[in-house]
Amino acid sequence: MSILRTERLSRNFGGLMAVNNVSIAVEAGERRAIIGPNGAGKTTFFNLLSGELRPLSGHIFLDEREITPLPPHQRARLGIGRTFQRNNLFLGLTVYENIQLAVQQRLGLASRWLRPARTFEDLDREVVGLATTLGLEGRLFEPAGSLSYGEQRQLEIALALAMRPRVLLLDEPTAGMSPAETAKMVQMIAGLPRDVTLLIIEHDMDVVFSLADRITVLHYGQVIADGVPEEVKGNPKVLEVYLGEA
Amino acid sequence: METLIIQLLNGLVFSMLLFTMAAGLSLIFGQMDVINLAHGSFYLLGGYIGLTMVRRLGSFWLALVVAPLVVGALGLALEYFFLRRLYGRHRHLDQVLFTFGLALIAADLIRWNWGAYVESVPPPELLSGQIPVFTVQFPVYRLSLIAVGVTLALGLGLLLERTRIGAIIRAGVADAEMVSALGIDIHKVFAGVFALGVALAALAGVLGAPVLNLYPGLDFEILILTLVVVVVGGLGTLRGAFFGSLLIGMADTFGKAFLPEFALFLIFAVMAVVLLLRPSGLFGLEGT
Amino acid sequence: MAAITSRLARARVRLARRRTWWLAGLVLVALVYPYVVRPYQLSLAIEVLIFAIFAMSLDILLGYTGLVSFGHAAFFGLGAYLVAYTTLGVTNNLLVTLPVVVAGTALAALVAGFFAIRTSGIYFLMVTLAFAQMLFSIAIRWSSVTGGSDGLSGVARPAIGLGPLSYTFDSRTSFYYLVLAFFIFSWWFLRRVVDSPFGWALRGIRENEQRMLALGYNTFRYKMAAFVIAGVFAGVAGMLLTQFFRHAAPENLYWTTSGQVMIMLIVGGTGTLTGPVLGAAVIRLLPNYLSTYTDRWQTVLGLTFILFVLFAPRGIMGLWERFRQRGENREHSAD
Repeated sequence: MSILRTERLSRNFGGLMAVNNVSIAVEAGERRAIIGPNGAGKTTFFNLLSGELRPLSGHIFLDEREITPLPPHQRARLGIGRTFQRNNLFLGLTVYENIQLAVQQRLGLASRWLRPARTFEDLDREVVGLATTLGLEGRLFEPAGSLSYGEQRQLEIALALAMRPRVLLLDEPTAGMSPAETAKMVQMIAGLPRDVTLLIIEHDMDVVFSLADRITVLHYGQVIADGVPEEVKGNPKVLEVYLGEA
Repeated sequence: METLIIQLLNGLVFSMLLFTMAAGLSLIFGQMDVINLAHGSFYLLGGYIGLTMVRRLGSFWLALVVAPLVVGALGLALEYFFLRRLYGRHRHLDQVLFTFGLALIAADLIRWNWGAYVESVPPPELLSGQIPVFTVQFPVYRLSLIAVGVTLALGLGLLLERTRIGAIIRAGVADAEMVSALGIDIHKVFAGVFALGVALAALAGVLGAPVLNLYPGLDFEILILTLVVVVVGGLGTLRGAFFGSLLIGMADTFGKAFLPEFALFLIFAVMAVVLLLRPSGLFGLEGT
Repeated sequence: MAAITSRLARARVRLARRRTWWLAGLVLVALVYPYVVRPYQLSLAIEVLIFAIFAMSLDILLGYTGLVSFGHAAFFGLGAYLVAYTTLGVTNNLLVTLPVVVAGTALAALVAGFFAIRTSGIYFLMVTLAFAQMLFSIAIRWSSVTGGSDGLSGVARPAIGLGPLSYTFDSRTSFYYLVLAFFIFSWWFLRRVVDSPFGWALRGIRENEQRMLALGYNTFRYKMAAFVIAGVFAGVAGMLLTQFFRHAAPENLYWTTSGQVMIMLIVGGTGTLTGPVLGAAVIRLLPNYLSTYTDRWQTVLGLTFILFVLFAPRGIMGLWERFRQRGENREHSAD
C-alpha cells in the first residue's frame, strides 16, 4: 500500500500548466527524488502536497485517505512535514525558539497557556537534542536571522524533523551549500530512520543517486519518467530533456 | 415615492464624494502599500482652505483649484521628508503609524486654526437653486456633484488605462521592483501618486463642504467610511473604489434616512457580509 | 554543551532573583504611595494603572501576535458601558459586574474576531477600526439606552461581598488598592500567557504565519484566542475607568482612545508587556506637565509619537536596551 499517492493532479498559473496530470505512488519508507529542469513544476507539486496551493483538479491520498480538501495545518498534523526551497524561518526568534515551536506542537503542548514554556522538561530536552543532531547546539540562543545561510538550511531541516513526520518533503535541501556542507547534509539525510518516507527535490545528481530509491522526472509539469535510478539514467527521454537543456 | 427618489439622489451624491476619497486612498495603497490614515485630515484641510478662500476672495471656483494644489504640495513635502524614510519591507506598520500621527496633529491644528464650530459653505452662485428631477425638486449643486464624480471616474480610468503615466502606475501596483528595474525612478512615481491621492482628498473636501459642512471630527467620519469603501471594493483598484462607494454611499444614506440609530451598523453589516464571501473585497485580488 | 546550558541557566536564575527584588520593591512603593502623595497625584496613579492594563492588553495583539488593531477602544468602551448599565440597573457588586464585563467583552471579541481575523494586515486594521467606530455611532445615536453623547453618569463605585458582608471601594484610596490589585493580577496573568507555549506560538504567528501552518498550527484559533484575551482585559480596564469617574462616555469608544493606547504601546515598546506600562505612564502624565506650557498638547503628543516611529520604533524599552548594551560593551572593553 502506498503511503502517499496522487491521482491526475493538475495546477495552472494563468494559462501555464505548472503541474499537469501527475499521478505518482510512493511506498512507505521509500526515498523518492523528484528531478527535472527549472520550471518543471517540482516546487508547485510540493506545494500541492503540503496544501499551500489548491489543485485545479486531481486528488491526493495519504494512507489511501483523501486529503485534497484539507488545509496545510491539518495535513501537517496527519504527518506531512516539509522544508522550503528558500529558507522560511522565524528570523526574529532564536534557534532554540524556532525548534521549540515545532516540538511543542508535536508534543501537544502548544495550547498550554498558563505555564511557562521553559518548565516543560521534555520540551527542553528534545529541543536541545535536535539542535545537537543538526550541529546547531552552539548557536541555540542566536536569532535565526543572524545564522549563516548553511546554518539556516540546517535549522530548516530541524524544524521539519521536529514534527516527526511520516512523509517528509525536502525542497532542495543542499541548495546554495558548500561541498563540505552538502556532504554533511547528505549524511544526515541518509541517516534518518527508514520509517520516514522522503520526497526530495534536488538538482545535484550526486546527491540524488546517493539517496534515492526511485526517481520521478518532471518536465513541463508532466511525469516523463519514473523508476529506479538505473532505469531513469538510461531513459532516452530523460537524456533528451537534460542534454537538450545543456 | 418622492422621498425614495430624493434619497436615491442623495445617495448618489454621497457615493461620488466617497469615490473621490476612496480613489486616492486606493491609488496610494496600490502603489506604495501605505494605508494613509491621514486621508480624512487632508479632506478636512482641503475643505477649510476652501472655506477661507470663499470667505476672503469670494470665489468657490478658485477654492476648487487652489485647495487641492496646496494640499497636494503638502503631500509632496510629507512624502519627500518623512514617508520616504519608511519605505522597505519591515517598516510597513511604521508607515501607517506615521500617517496616524499626522492625523492626530492635523486634527489639533485644524481645530486651533478654524475653531470647533460647524461651518457651512454656500454653493457657488451659478449652481444655486433647485431644478425638477422626475417628480421632485433637487438642488443643482448636488446634481452637478454626481456629474463631477462620474467624470472623475472616467477621467481617472482613462489616465490609468490609456496614458504612459497610467501604465507606469499600473505596473507599479503589480510590481514596484520591476518598474524600478525598467529604469523609472519609482520614488518620483510614489511621490506623484501620493500627491495626487491627497489632492483628490482635498478636492472632495471642497466639493463636499456645501453638502456636509465642515467641523472637527468630520475627518475621521469620512476616513472610516472611505476605509469601509476600499475594504468592500477591494484595495488598489479603481473599479473597486467606484462600486464600493456606490454600495456604501447608498447604504449610509438610506440607513440614516430610515434607521438613523443604526446607520453605521448597517454599513458594518454590509462589510461583514462582503468579507465573509470575499475576504479581499469585491474586486480585490485573491491572496492579498 | 552542558557547560553552556548550565551557565545560561545560572545567569537566568540570577536575573530572575534580581527581578524578584525589583518587583518586591516596586510593590512596596505602590502600597505606601497613597499615604505620601496628594489626592490629585493618587488620581493620576489610578489612571496610569488602568491605562497600563489597557495598553498591555493591546500588546498581546500587536506586540506578540502581530495583529495591528486600530479599534481596541471597542472593548474598552464596551466594558465601560456594560459596567455602567449593570451598576445603574442591577448592582455595583463586582461579583456580578465583573463576570458581566468579562463575558460581554469576550463575546464581542468572538464576534468581531470572527470577521476581522479572516482578514490580515491592512484589512485587519481597517475592520477593527470600523468595528469600534460602529459601536461609537451606536453609543451616540441610541440615546435611550446609552445616554447619547452625554453617556451614562452616576455609576457607583464597586462593592464586593455576599449578603450582609460587603465592602464598598468608595474612597479614592480604597479604589486605588482595588485598581492596583487588578493591575498586578493582569501583569502576572499576561506574563504567564506570553511565557507559555501558547505565547510562543503567538510570536511564531507574528514572525511567519505560513510556517506555523506548515508546522501544523491552526493559526486562526490562536489569533482568535489572543483577540479574546486582549478584548477581555481591555474591557476590564474600561470597567475600572468608568467606576473611577462614575461615568461611561462615548469617548471611551472613539478612535482617539484607540489611538491613545496605540501610542502608549509604541512609545513604551511593543512585545515587552513592561513597555506598555511605561508608555501609559508617560502618555498619561505628559499632558499634565505640558498644559502648563502649551494648549496644543495633542500636537505635541502626535509629534512625540512620530519621532518615536521614525527614530525609535522599539520604544522606550528599545532605547533602554540600546543604552544597556552600550554600557556592557564599555565594561567589556575596560576588562
